[in-house]
Amino acid sequence: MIEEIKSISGQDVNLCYQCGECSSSCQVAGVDGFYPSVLIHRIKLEDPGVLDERKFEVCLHCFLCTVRCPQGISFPDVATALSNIWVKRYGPDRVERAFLKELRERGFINPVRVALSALGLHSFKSLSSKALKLMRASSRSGKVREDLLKEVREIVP
Amino acid sequence: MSPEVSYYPGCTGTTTERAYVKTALMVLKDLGFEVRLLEDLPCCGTLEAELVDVSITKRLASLINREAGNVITGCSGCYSNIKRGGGEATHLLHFLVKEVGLSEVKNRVKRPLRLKVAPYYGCQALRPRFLAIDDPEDPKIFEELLMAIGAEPVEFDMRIKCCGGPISLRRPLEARKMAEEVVKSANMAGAEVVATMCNLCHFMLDYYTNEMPVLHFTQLVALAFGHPFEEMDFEEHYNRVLR
Repeated sequence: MIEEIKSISGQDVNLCYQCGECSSSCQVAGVDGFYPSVLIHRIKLEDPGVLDERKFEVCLHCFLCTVRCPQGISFPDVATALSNIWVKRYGPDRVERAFLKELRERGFINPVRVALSALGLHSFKSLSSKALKLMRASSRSGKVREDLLKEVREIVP
Repeated sequence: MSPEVSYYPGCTGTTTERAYVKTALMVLKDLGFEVRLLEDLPCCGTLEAELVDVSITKRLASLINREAGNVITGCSGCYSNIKRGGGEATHLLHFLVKEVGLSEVKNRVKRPLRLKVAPYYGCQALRPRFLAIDDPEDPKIFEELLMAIGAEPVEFDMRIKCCGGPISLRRPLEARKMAEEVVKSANMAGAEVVATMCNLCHFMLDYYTNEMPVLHFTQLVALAFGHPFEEMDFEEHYNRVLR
């Protein structure tokens, strides 16, 4: 897994000496047991749970840990690499599928359509007056140029 | 002849965050630019495309650059995706402060704002370091712009932290808590409004919180340049903006 991560993201997790700066900088450390430094440690141990548990999906990609890492490792890029490896193995998750579908069909993302297909209608219940306004705002008149849309379909699986 | 620039609105810039793009164009025109709005270009791919395969981000970035060259965008998410995909982009805030210049901005001010504003940077235009429009942990560029238009920037703890946007679909409750924390921090510091510099940050803070108005920074600049309150499209916002 270490080599695969390196070839996708250029990040060498072997440089990590577990100082924990990333985890102490992280706004979502502890959410569902997510800690960047722990994941890196487990990658080094070739722990299959790193992929299977999908804790990497908690990463915000805020890159605060990246600018603080004394070894120059960018954890968000490690998380991206793990996600790419997951997709190669199991295919995109439901959120990614929603985005890919939008990209392929229209070439741009309609935020409401994506949220609906990723979360389902019930996710809008609790904020109903705002949600109605949001739904109205999300229809768009313009279109992505036809030749570019074709190109996007070649790029996006 | 006025110089031409290309503005990449981002998907939300043509849907839920139209007021941002409208006022960004107003400001650019006031500063003497002819603006080509890139509405017919595809999405930058967002973080999600990168999570599927990093090569998608690279190919979309090069497509955007091939069609429009170096684009200006007010969406930090688009900015970051294009840059991280190896492409060229300029963040609108950086363009106004560093390329147009603060003295030029100051010259256009007709109505200094006299408002306490919490400048919320978020993440995507500050980090990683190679794309940072200012110091990744202690930026000043937003405060400088606010002072140039007569507003009083308020310092608050969460100014460079995340709005929760990137995990809003996988961890919605956590994301919402993060948005609330940002606005609470601004409120505690005595701000009258929060100003954002990213489509997604604006959506997160405005949609998921109820504490105070959340404005696109371009709305503040346009107001200071003398445009009437009614043209800011504040009715598109989720929290009421009072005059």
